[in-house]
Amino acid sequence: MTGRVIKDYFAAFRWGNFKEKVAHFAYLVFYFFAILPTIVGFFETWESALIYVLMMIPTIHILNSGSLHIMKMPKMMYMVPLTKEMKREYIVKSAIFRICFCSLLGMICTLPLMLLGLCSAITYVIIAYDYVTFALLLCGMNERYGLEERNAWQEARSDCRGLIQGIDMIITVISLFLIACMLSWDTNEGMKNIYENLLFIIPAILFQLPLTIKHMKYWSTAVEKALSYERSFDK
Amino acid sequence: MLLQLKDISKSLGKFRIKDISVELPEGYIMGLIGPNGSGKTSLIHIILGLYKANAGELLIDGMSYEDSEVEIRNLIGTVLLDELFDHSATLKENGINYGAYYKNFSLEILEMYMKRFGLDGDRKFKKLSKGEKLKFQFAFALSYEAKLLILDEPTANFDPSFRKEFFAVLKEYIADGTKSVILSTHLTEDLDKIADYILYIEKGSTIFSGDIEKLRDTYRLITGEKYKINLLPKEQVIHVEEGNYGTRALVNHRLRYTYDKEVTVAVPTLEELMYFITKRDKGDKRR
Repeated sequence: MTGRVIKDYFAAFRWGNFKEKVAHFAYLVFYFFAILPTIVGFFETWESALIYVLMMIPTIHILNSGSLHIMKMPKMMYMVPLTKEMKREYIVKSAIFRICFCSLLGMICTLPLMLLGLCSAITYVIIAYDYVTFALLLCGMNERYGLEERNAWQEARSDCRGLIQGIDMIITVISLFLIACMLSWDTNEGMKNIYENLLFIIPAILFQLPLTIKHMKYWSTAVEKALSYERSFDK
Repeated sequence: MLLQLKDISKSLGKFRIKDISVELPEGYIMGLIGPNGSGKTSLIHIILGLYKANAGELLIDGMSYEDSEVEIRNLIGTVLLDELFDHSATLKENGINYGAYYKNFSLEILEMYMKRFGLDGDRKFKKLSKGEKLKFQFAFALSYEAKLLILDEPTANFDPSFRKEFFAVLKEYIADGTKSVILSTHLTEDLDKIADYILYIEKGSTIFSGDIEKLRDTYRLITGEKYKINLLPKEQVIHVEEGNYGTRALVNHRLRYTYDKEVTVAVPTLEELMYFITKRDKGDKRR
C-alpha cells in the first residue's frame, strides 16, 4: 500500500491536473516571486534574495500540493475490492506521506541557509516547525463539494469550513512570510536583540499553532469523508 | 438472480432517482436506455456501490454492499467514461497494479484481450485515444472473471469495426449462462440486436422495465393518414407526430384491439420508442 501511496502522490503532478488550477498556481508564483519581493525589497542583496527564494519554493509546493492532493483516493481505488480498513490505511498513509514530503522539502530547501551561516540553528528549527504545521494544515483538506454536500444544509456547513480553512491558510502564509522577513532583516541589518526575533516569531507561532490543532481535530471527519466516493466526488 | 434492485431511490441535489426496481438473471444482457440526464449514470453509480441509495434494496448475487463489499467488487467489471487508470503507467503496469486487488485476476487473460483489441501493453495509458482507453477498461474488466459487467456508454467511442467485435465479446461472455451485462447506451439499434432486457428510465423514473419481447408487445407504431390516426382510442395514444409522408403515432398496444386496415402497424425500434416518449414529455401531449 505504501508504494501505491507514493506512486499516486507523484502521479497527481500531471498537466491535466495542473491545467484546472493553472490560474491559481500561476498567480501564486507571480505574486511570491515578482510582486511581493519587489514591494518588500527582498531582492536588494543576494543573501536576502536567496533566503526568500529558498523559503518560497517549498511554500508554493505545499500550497500547490494542497490543491492537487485532496484527501481522497483515485477513482479506481473506490472500485477495486478493498475493505474499509484498507481504504482507511491508504487515505491515512497518503496524508502522512504528504506531510512528511512537504515538510522535508521545506527543511532541505532551507538547510543551505543554516550551512551558509545566513540563519542560526534555532531559526532553522523554527522554519522547520513552520513547514510541518503548514503541511499539516493543508493535508486534511477535502473536496468541498462532494455529491453528498449538495444538500443545502451540508453545503452551507462546507462553505463555513472552506472559509475557516481559507483563513487558516492565509494566517499560515503570513506566518511563513513573517519568518522570511525576520531572516531577511537579520541578514541585511542584523538583529539587535532577541526581542526583534520574537516580534516575528510570536505571531507566527501564536496564531498558527492553535489553528493547526483545531484543524487536526477535523482529521477523523476528513478521513471518514474520504472513505465515501459520493462525499469525495461531485459526479 | 445476479442483480436485484427493489424500489431504489436516491436524491442527487434537485434530481431524484425514484423507486427503480429491476431484476437481471444470469446469462442475459440488459440495456439501460434513456435520454441525456435521465439518471442512467447515477443508477450505474448506485449499482457500483459508489452512491448509497436513500431507500430500497440492492443485491448482487444475493449479497449487499453493507455485508460483502469486497466479494461484490470481485464480481463486478466496469467500463466508465472516466479515465480510471494511472496515466503515467503502461497498460501492462496498470493491469498488474490494479489486478493485484482482484482475487481471480489473470495477466494472461488481460494480455489476450489486449492483443485481440489491438492494444500494445507497453504503451502508456495517457498516450491512448479515448476509444482505446475504453477498450483497455473493457479488457481489464474481462480479466478477473467478473460475473456482472457494467458498461456506461462505451459504444459511442468505438469505431464501427470494433463495435462488432465488442458485441461478439459480450455474446461470448454471457454464453455459459453464469454471467450478465448491463449496457447503458444511446445507440439503441445495437441493443435491438443484443439485449434481452431493457430498463428505460427518464427523469429518474422507470418508463419500462422488463424483457425486450414484452417491450415489443407493449407498443406499436402506427403510420397513416391524420384522420385515421385521430380515430385511435385517445387513452392508447402516447404521442402523435405529423410528417411529410403521413402521420405517425406511438400507441400502447392491446392484444384484442383491431387496427384500421388503412394504417401501417409496426413494432417500434428502441430508438423510435425513446424518440416518441421523449417527445411526449416535452409537450404536445396526447394520450
